[in-house]
Order: sequence, then C-alpha cells, then structure tokens
Amino acid sequence: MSVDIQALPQKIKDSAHWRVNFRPFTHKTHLQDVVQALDLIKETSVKLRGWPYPFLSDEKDEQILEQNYIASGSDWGGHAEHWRLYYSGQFLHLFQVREKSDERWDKKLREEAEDYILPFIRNKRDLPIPGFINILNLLYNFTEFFEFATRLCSKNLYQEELQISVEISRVKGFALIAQYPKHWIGYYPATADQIAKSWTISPEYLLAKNAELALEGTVYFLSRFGWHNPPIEILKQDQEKFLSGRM
Amino acid sequence: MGALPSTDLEGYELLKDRVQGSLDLLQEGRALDFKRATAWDELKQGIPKDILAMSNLRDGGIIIIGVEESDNKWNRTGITNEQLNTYNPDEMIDHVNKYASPSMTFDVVTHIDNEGLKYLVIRAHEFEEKPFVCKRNCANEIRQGAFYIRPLGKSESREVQSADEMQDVLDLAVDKSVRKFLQRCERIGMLVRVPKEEFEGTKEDNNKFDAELEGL
Repeated sequence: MSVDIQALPQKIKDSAHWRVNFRPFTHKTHLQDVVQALDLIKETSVKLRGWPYPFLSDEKDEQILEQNYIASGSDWGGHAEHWRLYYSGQFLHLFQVREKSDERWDKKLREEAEDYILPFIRNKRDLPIPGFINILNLLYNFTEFFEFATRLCSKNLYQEELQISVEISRVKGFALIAQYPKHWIGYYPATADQIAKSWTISPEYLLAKNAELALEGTVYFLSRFGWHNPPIEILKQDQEKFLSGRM
Repeated sequence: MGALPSTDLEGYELLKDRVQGSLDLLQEGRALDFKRATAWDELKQGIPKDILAMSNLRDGGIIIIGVEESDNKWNRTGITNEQLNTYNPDEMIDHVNKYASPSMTFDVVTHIDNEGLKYLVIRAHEFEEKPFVCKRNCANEIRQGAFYIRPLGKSESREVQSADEMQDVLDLAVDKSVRKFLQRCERIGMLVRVPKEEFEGTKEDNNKFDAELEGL
C-alpha cells in the first residue's frame, strides 16, 4: 500500500521526532532538475544498516517532484519519515524516534530498563518513562547525518560553507538506554522537550572531520540528557566499526 | 570446517537488521542480490563477479542465498543444512581472491528469519583505497583487467560500459584520498575550524530558506 508522503510531516511532528536540516551559505539554484536531484540522493544515501539514510522509495507515488524540490519518505514497520531536497541545496529530514515508534523495539527497551534504569529511580511511581533513546542508535544517527552531508559536499552540492542543524523534539522524560551487550546503567532523562544543536562549517572541514563532528553532536545530546562523562573512546570505536560496515 | 557465524552473534546486530529488512521487503537493489538456494560448487563460478561489483560500490552490498524467483516474485525458501555445509568461508575468500586485485575479504554468515528459515549471507565491503579489478579470466563470467560494478538503479553485476560509470568508481576512490589528505591537513594545522560568526549567512538568504520550508 502506498503512503501519502505529503501527509507524513504532520504525523511525524505529532510524535517524538528528529529534524535534520542542511542549508548552504547563499540561496541560489544548486540543482538544475529532477533527474539530477534524484540521482544525487541515490548516489549519496548512506547504507550502513537496515534502512538507507535518507530512504528514497522506488514507488513513483511515494516520490514528490515539485517545482522547487523533490521529496520522498516511508511509513513502514512502525516508522515514518519524510525528507525534501530543494533545488536551492537545502535538505530537510523529519523522522520519528524509531525507539518509540517501533512498538516491538519500545517493548524490548522497556524490558531492559527493568534491569538497567529502574533501580536508579528513587520514586518509580511518580516517574513514568514515556520513551527511550538508544545510545548507540543516537551515535549511528549522528554519524549518518554527517556522512550524508559529507557525501553531498563530495558531489559539489555545497561548495561554500553550510549550516547543519539537528533537533530532537517531544522527548521530555525520555531516558537514555544502552541495549545488551552494552552495560551502561543509570537514569538519564531529558528534562527539556527539545534538544538542538547547529554547526556552520566549511566543506573542507566537514570532509576532514565528519566523524568527529558526529561524535561531538552525540556527546552534546548525551550531556543534555544529563550524561556528562560518556566513554568517548568506546563510542569512537563503535563509530569506526559502523562506518566501515563491520557491525 | 568451523561453524559459520550467525547474525545472532554479538557484532552482527546491524547486519541482522539489514538482512531481515531485505527479506521483509523482498526487493532486489543495487546493494542487494538474491540467489536461489544452492551448493557452493554450483555458485562458485558466478560469485566473484557479484562480489567484485559490490565491493566497488559505496557502502558495499549483501548477497542472500535462499531466495528464489518464480512468476516474477521473490519467494523465501531458505537454504538446507546440506547445502550450507558445502560453504567454507576460507575457501570462498581464497576462490574470489584468485580474481580480485588487490586482495579482499568479505563476511559469510548464516541468518535465521522470523519463520525459522535459514539463509547464507555474504557481505561485501566497499574497497578501502583502490577499486577492485579482475585479475584473471573465469570461463565466460569475468574478464582479466575489467572493472565490475552495480549500475545505478539496477540489481545486476556487470562490467563498466561507459565513461560515466568508470568515473563513478574513480570518484569514490578520489573522495577517499581527498578525505585522507584533508585529515592530514587538519592534523598539521592547515585546516582550521573557523568561528561560526564568520560563516553566518545573510538574513535575506536565511529568510528565503525558511520560506521554502513552508513551516516544516
């Protein structure tokens, strides 16, 4: 069954979700036509796990070819996403927090939380946890955002400075969790409903340091959940394995 | 022969997601190839071409053995234990390396789907520095000196047929070199992170970017 791509943003924004936005320094035409834009996504999407970042549907009615942008998305397996690539070079991606939207994953995390989080909550009854953020998934997400931006730079979409903004919204009360076999334990809830960070960087710097910038974003978001001393070397090793496709 | 590792083991979590997702969707693609269940002897002649092609692809690709096409539809059949026992990862890697330059490695694992069917999965990794070239002829399958690729938007492995296709492979190699060069520049202080305020776009540009988002 095909998905109404235009209706997805509202569905996504009504739930816990990520918002990723890349924009070039100046507003001008960076892409000439639909074919160039579609090929660019096909050539640069990051395919390091079960779903590409971003996902371009093969179904023609799940692609939007507008005057000034192309868009696609999906609503499958309990997960909705919608992205747009404007001819101005601006990229926007909205997607649900999969740990919450995928009911099977949410259930599994709740079970693991019994061992790894609940013992650290003083008054369990007064602190229901509305959802979880998997620490490794957070790292993988950031790594995909920056790797995708880097690939767009390599294809000359951004030849001058660009701004990368990442937000996660509707997450007040969500708690960090590390899934087996990681054993990072503790109760680290988001006290704000939205966490955001942006970077303005040159394409050269991004090409050289994309992995480090992704790690920086991860560590910043972890700190906003109250985890101020994450094991950075371990995260770095996990990121290296992820980027080399060996996970 | 030692037991083949399974996607249930630690360290294969993402591969497991990728394989199960591919089996759920049943849609071949540039980075995904299905093959019907068969023994190694029957598969070995054609497999170097697929692995060479997928290793020349950004992010590599996976081959799942145990999915059969009939009536224009893919069907999950799984692979029998008898067929599975004919696969030895060391022998497979040695065989493919007879045709690959430089030498390569790839993963060979088993996967059990949510219906209990077993599959053999080969994961080809993207090349590290130099693209892979075929160094030896193999029957009518592959040719010495040829580059094999997975063409954009297609689920087939074949020789490069145009300058643009060759350029895509070379671009990927150049990208890697450029990134390494810039990392070196950054390490020796030739590339610095300029403060954000020096990069702020104009208000007019930002307004235009905001406007085209239509409130999203």
